[in-house]
Amino acid sequence: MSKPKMETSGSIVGKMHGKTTIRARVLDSDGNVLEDLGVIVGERTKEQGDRTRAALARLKANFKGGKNHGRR
Amino acid sequence: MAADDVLVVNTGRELVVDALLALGASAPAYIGWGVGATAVDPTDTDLDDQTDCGEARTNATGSDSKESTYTYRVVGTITKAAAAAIIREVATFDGAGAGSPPSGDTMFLRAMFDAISLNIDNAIEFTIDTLVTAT
Repeated sequence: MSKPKMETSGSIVGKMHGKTTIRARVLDSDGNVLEDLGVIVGERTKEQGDRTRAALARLKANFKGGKNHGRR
Repeated sequence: MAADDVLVVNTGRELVVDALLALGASAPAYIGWGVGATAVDPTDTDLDDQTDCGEARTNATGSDSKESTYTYRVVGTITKAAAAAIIREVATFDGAGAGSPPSGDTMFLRAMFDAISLNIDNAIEFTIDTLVTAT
């Protein structure tokens, strides 16, 4: 009588993730930096967030588009 | 051995970045933008809303990837040409797409952020880092 054949099957799962950080600078028509927004997506300190919000507010104050641009 | 005692190791993480770079002209380094406010979703295939955003995607092919830090980086600038707009989203694709605003090709990532009020002739320089992590 032959021995029963033993087989082993299974899977190994290795996890991998992508973590995205996005920085942005707003430039004028000559390529000069109007506002360095810093990190707009991703981890940032409170101070960095405050600076970004202040820069966005300045851009908003100087915006020359219609009030409905980009709004839905 | 613990059931989950497995890691994609650092050299494996480098291979992922290498693989993206090896795509060359088909690497997901074409940056597009939009004004959409709908939250990102894993099933997204295009930007949410490109009203007044007819500008071509900028090709930042593998512009400054940092393999040693397991990061795939693209840096690209888009200039507001046709109309001022409030930019709220950005995405990367594996091609330039077609039309105005551009569409088509495969989206790699889409991100939303606080509104950036952008006048005509002004531009946004995006630096988009995707860190490959093992945990």
